[in-house]
This record gives sequence, structure tokens and C-alpha cells, in this order.
Amino acid sequence: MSYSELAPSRRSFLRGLAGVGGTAALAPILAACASAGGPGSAPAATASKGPGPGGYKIDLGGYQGPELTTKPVALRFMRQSYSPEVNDFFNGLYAKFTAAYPNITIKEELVPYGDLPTKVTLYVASGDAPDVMMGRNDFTPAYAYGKIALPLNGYFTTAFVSDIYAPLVTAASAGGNLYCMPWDNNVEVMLFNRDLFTKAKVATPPETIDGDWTIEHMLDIMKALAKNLNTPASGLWALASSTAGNGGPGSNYTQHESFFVRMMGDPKAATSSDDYKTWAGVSTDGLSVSGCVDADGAIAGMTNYQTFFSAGLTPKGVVPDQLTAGTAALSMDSFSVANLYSTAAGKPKFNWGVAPMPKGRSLFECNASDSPIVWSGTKNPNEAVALVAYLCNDANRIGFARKWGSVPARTSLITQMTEYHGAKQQLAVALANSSSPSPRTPGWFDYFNAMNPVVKNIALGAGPASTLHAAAQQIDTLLAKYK
Amino acid sequence: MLAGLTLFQFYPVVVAAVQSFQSFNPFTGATEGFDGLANYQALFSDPAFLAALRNTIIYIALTIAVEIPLALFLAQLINSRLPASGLLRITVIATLAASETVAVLVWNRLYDPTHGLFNSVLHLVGIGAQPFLISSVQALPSIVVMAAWKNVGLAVLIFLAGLQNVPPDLHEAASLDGAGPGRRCRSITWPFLRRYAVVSLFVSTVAATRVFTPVMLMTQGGPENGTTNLTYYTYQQAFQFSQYGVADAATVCLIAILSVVTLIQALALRDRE
Amino acid sequence: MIQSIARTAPRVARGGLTAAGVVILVLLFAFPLLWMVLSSFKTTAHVVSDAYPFTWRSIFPAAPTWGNYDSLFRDFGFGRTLLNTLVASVGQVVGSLVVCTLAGYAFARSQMRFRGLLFGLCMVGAFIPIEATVVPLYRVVKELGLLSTYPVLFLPFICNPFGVYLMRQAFRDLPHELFEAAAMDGAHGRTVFWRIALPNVRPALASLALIQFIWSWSNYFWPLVAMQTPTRQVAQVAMAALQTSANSQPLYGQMFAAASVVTVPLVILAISLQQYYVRGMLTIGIK
Repeated sequence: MSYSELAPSRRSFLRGLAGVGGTAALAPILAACASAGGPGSAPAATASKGPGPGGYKIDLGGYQGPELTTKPVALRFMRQSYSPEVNDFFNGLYAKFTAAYPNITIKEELVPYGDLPTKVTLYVASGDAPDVMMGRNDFTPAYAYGKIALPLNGYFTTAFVSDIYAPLVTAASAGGNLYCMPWDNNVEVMLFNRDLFTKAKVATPPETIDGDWTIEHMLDIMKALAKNLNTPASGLWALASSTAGNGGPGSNYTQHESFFVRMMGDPKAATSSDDYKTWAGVSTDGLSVSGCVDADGAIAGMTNYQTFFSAGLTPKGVVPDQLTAGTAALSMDSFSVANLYSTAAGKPKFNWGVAPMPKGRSLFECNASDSPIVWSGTKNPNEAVALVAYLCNDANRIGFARKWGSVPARTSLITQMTEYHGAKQQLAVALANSSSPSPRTPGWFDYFNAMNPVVKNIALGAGPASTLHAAAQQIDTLLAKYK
Repeated sequence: MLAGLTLFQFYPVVVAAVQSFQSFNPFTGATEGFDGLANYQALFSDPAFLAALRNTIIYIALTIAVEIPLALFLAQLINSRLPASGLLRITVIATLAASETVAVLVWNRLYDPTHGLFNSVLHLVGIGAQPFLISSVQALPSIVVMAAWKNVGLAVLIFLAGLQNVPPDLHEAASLDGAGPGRRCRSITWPFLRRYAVVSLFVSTVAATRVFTPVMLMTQGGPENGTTNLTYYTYQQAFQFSQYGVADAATVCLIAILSVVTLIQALALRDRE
Repeated sequence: MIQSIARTAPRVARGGLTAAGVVILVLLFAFPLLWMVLSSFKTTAHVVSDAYPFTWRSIFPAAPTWGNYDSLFRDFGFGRTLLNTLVASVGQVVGSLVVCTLAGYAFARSQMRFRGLLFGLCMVGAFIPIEATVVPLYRVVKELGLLSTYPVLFLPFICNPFGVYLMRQAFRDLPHELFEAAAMDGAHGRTVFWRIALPNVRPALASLALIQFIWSWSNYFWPLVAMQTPTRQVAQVAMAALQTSANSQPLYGQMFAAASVVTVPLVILAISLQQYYVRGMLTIGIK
């Protein structure tokens, strides 16, 4: 059975973020300064070129750095724990790597999602971090600012980098350098249960990217669903409960709630306009959010979001598995759930479909996804990057995507995978192509840690305008330390 | 031994105190020099801190109000040596021994607003579903109830020890003199228990101030800062926002509050003999 | 005489009712833990769906299954985790027995000048929640090269204020005559400690051991931070991870199973050794 439990690392990663042990904590990752192993003060000049693809003992994907050393090396890789099956898959990959390079041992550290950021912070603060750590592309400004990640550009062929979805590359880069390697593509979509729509005699949402699917339309549909399905007495709901993070509203601002805010903005509007600021979420220098977090568009977006709860369209608490259990008509999920549903083992008991996220003033799709970083203080940069490159080579990425269900980050992989020729998958690809990064600020961690409780308060009834104004002030204070 | 003590217990405390006056580079974690009272100023202008301060006091007050009478009641029951008293004693000890994380995970399920057992039962008897942890008003008391359930065992044991120390002939003598249970309780039991009450009070106070796991796993300080307290606030500042100086200042405040409260309690209940 | 008989009769009748009342009280009080164990035999889906509306199924599993436990030990390697927790707890017990006893003895018996002050300082540590000291403590531990080793789980805590207080109290409670007799016999220093003092505080030692074990077993935040090797992680952390594990959905079934596995031994231990547990907790409280 391939997708042992449901799907995507992305969501669960975030979910965990606000969850248990590490309620976050990445924030300004402390560069390993004071203690030993400080990072280079300037991003490393691109590494000297080596043989390039095909010239190494094993397929290192797009790696073009020097051939790996013959001295004994122990590489540490810290990542989140996937399902046992996927973890085994990785062990197999390491075995092959070590077979080709017997002098290099790989020691993996598995961490529950929620604790990943805390661990990264503590490691970096202690000055002795693993060579490769699972990061995320929305922290790229922080990685750059804090000199935590080794720039990767010189190490990879241009062909390889341009094969990666452009929005992902933009998200993973700062100041012209690529700081993390996009590992998969997290595409958020609206999954729905056709049978429940039929039962409620409500028209299903459009299933293409250019359909007429706005947030207002979605609210109308949900209200009709709630009415006709006799929510909540029947136990059926219009929208599934969010189980990201510690569950409930305000657990996953990056992947979930921010959508409803930023869709009310417009990236093509003038930079001084309210529309643009709503979309951007932060000032151009990344250091202030007043006028962005509490822009009119943002307030309108959060008011919409509040309606989900005040009109009884979605539960206020955590109810796991509502879509799969057939008790919710719509669900905002990562596309990997759709991948799961497409397999024989994961097929749900009902007819289902995939719709894009609704539009506000624009169609907003956020591409915050897992992207490993190489610690800037690593003693074996070539080997560490090579490991990342190896894990990201064609065969291994396709293997991972098939086992875990996330959408691959490179166009050539999608072309190679026949399962992506279906209509639903093509929708995901289209969405990936039009995605935007999270607000770009070195203080992204402070930002969303501050926003999560705010979103929760609004969902539970606090006034959007006043709450967002207070939040903007709080975040500004927090971002002050990056000036 | 002293070295171990110093290293592991004191060093962090001293460091915290000293650092509360400094400012930090969020990335390097290195201090950037002394900032005087800037951190404390930031503290007092942060509405979340003021809420945390207020809540910490409320936690203490509510915990005492719930735990102490409950403990007294249970201790009396156990002491009266009714057939099931031994069972009660065991139960109370069991909840005390269970880990806090377990308690929190279980009660989180019980309190769930739509699918929690508590609301199911309430629905059954006709009372509407309560928001519990998602209401800015009910969340704190909900946590206090859970914490009281978990920790009452300690207070019970303390009171039990006290009750068992009351010489039985005193009770006999008093009842022969015609004193009813109420009067006996007040004039005889209470003075003996007072010393134990002080202890229970202190223990409950410290526990109430340090409430952390429930806040972290159940409500994350919300809704609307309704459940945040000094401990959680400190954690947030240090781990979510990397404001180390502010976190240290908050720790100092925490210690200060705890000292003041316990001092007041000790003075108020001092033996006036 | 007649008066007291007259008084006992209604008391007995009342006693019957009250006994039943107490049993109900016990059930209510123990309910969350009982429910936890019962729910560990339900699948996650059932845990959620059976809760509302309220039926007998809300409490008792309709289709009890060992599946959660299976999955817990097979897929999540919980057996190893339990072993790790045991190692950490045993380490804590042994360590604190040694250190706290010595410290307690020193504080109780020695004539150091600043004894009182030192002791007071030691007690201040009791006020500080561990969460506040984690980062500096982490740095200390890292400098010492102890990260992710088994000792790191307990080493920083073996000298803890509660243990020291407990042992000091125990030694203080020993009658003077004991030491006087020993002195008269010419014994001093170490001999006094080993032969005279120590054997007489056995109950206190038992209490200390038990409480330290339970405390260490329940420890969550520190192992989370200091233990980075997943195969050496302890049960509390692993259990909490089930709520945020590799899925987008929480695994309540496994979580309850883990909680049960983690709690039941502890509870049994506390109950079977209750006199020591009680004694220890009492002395700690009385400060």
C-alpha cells in the first residue's frame, strides 16, 4: 500500500508547527555565531565546477560541483518523519549512496513536524547544526538574512534550476542566491464530495482554473449546503474542519488562512494601492506590516473567513478526516490528498472532484513548501549539497512523489509521470505555475506566529478590523529587531 | 555536587536575570549590550503581557478556590473510613501520578466543542453545547478545572495527613459536650489543619503559576489572550519571537509575582500564637 | 452508652448511602483515565464519530480492537521508546539518590558557614519553570558534549531542590541520640553516613526514588529539546508526536493507546507503593 496514511508533508509540517512541542520557534534563526563553526560572513562564492551530471559515481541529479572527497565523512540530515513506509524508502536511498561512496555515512534525524523548527533554532543557536536540514521556502529571507543556509546556485546546473517551477525558485531565492532546494510543490485545492452536493441539490464548483469561482460564490454554495444538509444536526457540514497544526482555526496561517486574506489583493495593482498591499502582506523592505496586514482587503478577507464559523459552515473545533468520512462537502487540502484518492488503496467511498481555490480580486495560490537547506557552517559543503542533489534526482523524486503523494517540484518530472496527465492533475500544475510565495520578510516566523492566534480570535468572533490593527502593531514591534 | 547544582540550577537563573537587561540580536543570539529597562518597558506596553499578568493572578485565585475546598472535602471523605474510601484515595493518587501531557490530551478530547464527550452529555440532559476551550471566557476556568482534577491529589494527601493528626479524643470530648459536626470542624479541626492549609495553599499556588502544558497544547494562550499566563508568555517570547531579553524580563516578573503571592499567604496565615 | 449507640445506628445507615456516593464519586473522578484506556481500543474514526450524540458507545468501544497497540509498537517502534524512557528514569533515580542524599546530609549535618544561605538558594530553583531555562541549559549541555546521549535526559536534574529538601528533612528527623551514640563509639564522617544515617532513612530514599521515577517518566519538554536521535527518544515526546505525526489527521486511537501504555504502569507503581509516594509528596509540600 503506497500512501500509508494521508498525505502531504507540507500541511502536516505546518500543522505540527503550530502544534505540540514546537509551537513554532523558528523565527529569526540564530546563526551559529558566537560558538564554533560560524557561517561564512558572505555567501560562499560559487563552488568550483566539477564533472557535472553523469560524471559522478552515482546519479547526483543536477549537481555540478567538485567530485566528492575520499576522506571519511559523516553527514547529518534532519527532516520530519514521514510514514514508516516513506522512511524506509529513504533508508534505501541512503544505502545506495553509501554503496557508491563508502567513505560517506549518512546519519538521519527524524523529528515530528511540530518540533522541526524548534530543533533548527536550537541547533543553529548552539553552533553545531546538521549539515542538511529540512527547511521551507517561506523562510528564505530569514535564511539569507541570518546567513544560515549555504547558497546553492553554483552547485546546480542552470538546466536543473530552470526545470524547477519558476514560482518555487523565486520563493527559494533571495538576493540572487538560491537558499533552499525546492523538494516538492505544495498546491492547495478545494476537494469536494459530489454525492453530498447532489444530495443537497447544489451545483458543484467549477473544476478548471478559469471557472467562475469566487469567494462570494463559495460562501453562497456553502450556505445552501448547510441549509439543505441540515447542519449541524445531521452531522454533515459544508466545509471540513481544519486539522492543520493543533487543529482548528488559526493553526496554519501560511497554508490556509492567509489564502482568504491575500486573495482579496492583486499583485498586478500599483504597489502603493491597498490591493497590492493586501496581496503582499508586508512592506517592500520586509520590515513592516501596517497597512498590509490590516489593509481593507485583508479585513474583508478575514470577515469572509469569520463567516465560515459564524454561519455554522464549518466546525469550530477539530474533527479529523471529515472529507474522507463523508461528513463534509468541501475541504481545503493539499493536492496530495487528491493523489491519494486517485490510488486504488486511497479511493474514497464517494464521487469526488477537485476545484481551485476561490478567487477574491485575484486567484491566490501560495507555494510555501518543504525545501531542504544546507547549513552554512557545514564542514563538508560539497558532500552535503551532493546529498541534497542525490535525493532530488529524477528517479528519487519520482519515487518519493509516488510514495508520499506530494506534487513534484520540477516540470520534467511531471512530464515523465503519466499519472499527471489527468485533468485534476493538470489543474494542480496550472495552479503551481501561478503560485506566489509567502510574504517576504526575515521575520516570517514572528509574523505567522503572531497571526495564528489572531486568526483564531477572529474565527471565534473577535472584530476583524480592530484585531487586525492590533496584530499589525504587534508584528511591527516584532519585526523591529531585524532592522 | 555544588558544582552540579551551580551549573544546572543557578547558572540559567542568573543568566536570565542578567540578560533581562540586555538586548539581543535575534539571529546571532549574542547580546548587544545593556539596554537598561527597555525590555521591561516593552513588557508593560504589550497587551499580551498585561493579559498574562492578569491571567496568572486569576489562575492562582481560581485554582485555590477550586482545589482547596475540593481537597478538604475529599480528604474528609477518605478520612471517614467509609468502605469505598480506600478506592477514592487510590484514584486521587492515580490522577496525581499520571503525566500532565496525558491529562491534557485526554481532556482536550473531552472538551471538544462539537465532538467532545462533555458536550455530548450536556446535549443529552438538554443543556446546550458549551464552547469550553474556544470561548475567551470559559477557556481559563476549563483549564483550571482540568488542572485541579489532576493536582488535587497533592492537597488531599496533605489534608489527610493533617486530619489524621487530629487527636480523636478531642472530637469525642467535643461531641460529648454537645458540639455538632460544624462547630467541631471549626473549633477543633481547623486550627490543626491550618498549618496544612498553608502548605496546600503554597503548593497549589506554585502549580497554578507554572501552568504551561495545558496552555500550550489546548489553547495556545487564546482565545483573545484569555488563557495566556506568564510562563506561556515567556515561552512565546523566547521561542516564537526570539525576544530573549523580553523573555528574561518576563521570567524575572514571574519569580517576583510568585514570591509576593506566597509571602502574602504566609503572612496572612501565620500562626498568631 | 445508649447515647452513643443511638448515634451509631443512623450513622451506619447513612454510611451505606455515603459509601455508594463515594463509589460514584470515584467513578466520576477516575472517568477521564478510564475513558482513555477504553478509547485506546477504538479506531480514530470511532473515537470521533461515536462521541456525539451520546450513547453507550461514547464510552465503551463498540468494536474493540488491539489495532492501535499493534500499530503503536509495530509502526512507531514504541517498545524501544519505552525502553529509552526507562533508561532515563532509572538514571534519574540512581543519580538523584546519590546526589540528593549527599546534599541533604550535608545540609542537615555539616556545619558549613553559609549552609542556610546555600540551601535557600537551592530552593529558589524550585520556582523556576524548566521552560524558562531551556535555552541556556541547552547551551551548557551542548558545551559539555552531552547532547543526544542518554545521560542528558537526567543529568541536569539529579540535583534538584525537591530531592535535596526531602533528604535533608529525613536526616534532620533522625534523633540526635543516634549520632551521639555513634560519636561515642568513635565513628565519624563517612562511617556515620554509611552505617548510621543512611540505613535509617530508607523510607525517605524509597519515596525519593519513586517520585523521581514518576517525574522523569512524565518529563516532556526537556527530552524534546535535548534528545535528537529519534531511536533514543522518550515516550512522552513520541506520544505527543502522534497528534502531529506524518499525517494531516491526528491519530487519536494510537494517541490513547500510547497514553494508556505510558500511564498505566505509572499509576500501578504509585498505588502499590503508595505509602512511599505519599510520604514523599507530603514532605515536599511542607516547605
